[in-house]
Amino acid sequence: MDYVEQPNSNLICCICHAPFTNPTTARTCLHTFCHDCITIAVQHSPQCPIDRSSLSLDDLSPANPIVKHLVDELIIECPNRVSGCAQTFQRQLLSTHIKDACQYVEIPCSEEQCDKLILRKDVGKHQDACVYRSTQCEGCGAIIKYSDLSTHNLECPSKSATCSFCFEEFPRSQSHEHATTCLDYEILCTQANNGCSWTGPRRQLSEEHVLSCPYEAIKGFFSINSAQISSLNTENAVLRQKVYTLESAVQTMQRDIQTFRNVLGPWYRSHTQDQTPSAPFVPPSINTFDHLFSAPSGPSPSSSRTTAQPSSSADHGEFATHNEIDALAPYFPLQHEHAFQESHNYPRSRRSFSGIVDPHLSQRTLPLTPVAPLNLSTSLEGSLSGLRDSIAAVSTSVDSLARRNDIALTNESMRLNEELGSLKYAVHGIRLQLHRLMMDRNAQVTGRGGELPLGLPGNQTIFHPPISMMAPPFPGTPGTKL
Amino acid sequence: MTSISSRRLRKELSEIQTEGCPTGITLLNADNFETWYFSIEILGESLYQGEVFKLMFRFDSSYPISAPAVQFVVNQESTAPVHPHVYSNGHICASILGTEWSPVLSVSAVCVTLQSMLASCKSKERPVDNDRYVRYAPDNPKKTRFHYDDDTV
Repeated sequence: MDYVEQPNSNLICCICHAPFTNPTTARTCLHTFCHDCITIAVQHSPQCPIDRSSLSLDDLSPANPIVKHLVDELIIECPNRVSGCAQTFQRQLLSTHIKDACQYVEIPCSEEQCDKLILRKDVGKHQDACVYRSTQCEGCGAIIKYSDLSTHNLECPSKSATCSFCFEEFPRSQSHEHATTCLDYEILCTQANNGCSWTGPRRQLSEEHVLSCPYEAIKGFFSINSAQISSLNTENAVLRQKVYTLESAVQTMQRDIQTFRNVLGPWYRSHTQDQTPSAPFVPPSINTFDHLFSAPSGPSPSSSRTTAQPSSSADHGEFATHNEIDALAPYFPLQHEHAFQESHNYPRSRRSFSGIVDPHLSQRTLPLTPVAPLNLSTSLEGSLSGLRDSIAAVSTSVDSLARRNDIALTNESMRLNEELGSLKYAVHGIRLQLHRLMMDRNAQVTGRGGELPLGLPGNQTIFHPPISMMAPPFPGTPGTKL
Repeated sequence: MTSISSRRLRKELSEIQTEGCPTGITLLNADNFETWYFSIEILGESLYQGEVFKLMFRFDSSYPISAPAVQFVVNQESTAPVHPHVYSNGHICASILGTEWSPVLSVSAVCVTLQSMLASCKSKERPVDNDRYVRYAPDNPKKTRFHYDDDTV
């Protein structure tokens, strides 16, 4: 910091030999120093630098305001004097000068991308020269960065462009129109999408190439062909849509069939496996079933005939539908396989009931279980009605059996009653005889006088049983008392 | 703080250059703010009449809070004065260069003090323990802890 005039020596700090900065006075010895100078000096050695009296940081206080004003108002030269600033001002105004006024301070360019530091006096000049300044394109009027101007010129629509074929110059905005009219512009043959690989200047196309192009000769064929292809395409799209619809319908049906199969369980079968074996063998199997209950049940033979007929008719119905489904067999590969497994299992079990093995097997099982096995060879409906019929037969026979039992029981009890009555009479006769004997004996005893130590009138009650005792038909109890 | 020491030295140098050194003292070399050289001679009646000595000042960044390292230059051209407080290697036993240093003192003040120390000398003799000290003395006299026992000279 350079002072315009030599400052008064009383304002000089004897540590830094310059006018006080933040003058600070020691309370003990009243010497004044710069705040920074005396702080460092006391930290180094706790005494006053001038008179060596002891001094601590606590003894320091700001100097008299007069001293502060005297040093603050000293006139100084601008620190940028070397750069060219000739200004002089009070020392306290230094920061304001540097911040706002000094023309020789370096400040950053106002353009964000520019990282240059410019002297304040040159800011205006730099703004005109900064490569990042905004500028307007002369042709199109767009506002762009100066640094982008050269790239912009290459693509600006207002700038002129040169055709690379005919070397003609024209505004860039017209380059598309030029490309469609330029006679030297390289183009493809008009039949390029039919397969012609020729390329060349536009002027040659009509003059030379069209005359020799093999594709041009069959132009008519191409148009007819493409029309056909497009109609086929549309038809194909319609068909594809239909196939999609059908496929979804088939899927729905597939799901339905699967549901039915689950519900039907063992009664489900495809027509191929049951048509030939079941039709002839159904009646015999039902006949054996009837044979078991033929004695008690009257209506069963007729019912068997009625069940056999609907089942065969149902089979015929199934046969018809299965024929239709067979045409779509490839759509049911999984179910078919499943059905095959089932067809492998079921016919065997069915044959065991109804085939050649049947009589042998039924003879062996009949003594053990007098109930016929379930006939799986008919339709579900047939089996159900057969079962209902047999239940009816069973209930009828149970009924008659109960009636006969009743009659037999009544007869038996009547016979027993008669027998019981004759026995009662016989017992009564015996009792009367016994009573007379007892009376005789009693008379003998009482006739002999006091032979008995117990000559009490109570004796008579003992030997005369009460009338109530006489009432039961079995006179066993008084008899044993005797 | 380097800036404080260099600002202060710049100030002192400009004072020396504008006002000149005290009589008998000449600035020989002050190219930087680390080492300065002065020539010193004793004017008037003294034991050192006609003799010229060379002083070396070495400053560190803590100047002027702590003292500079001051010694006489001893080489082919110049020697240290024969003095009870000056060792033959040039080191000076003076309290103002050690414990008695104050930031108020300056380079020229040190020169004047040394000048008067030489001028007041009564007999040209080396310190008592000169040989022992010189043998073990460090390069920088500030690293020596002197025992200041004689205030008279």
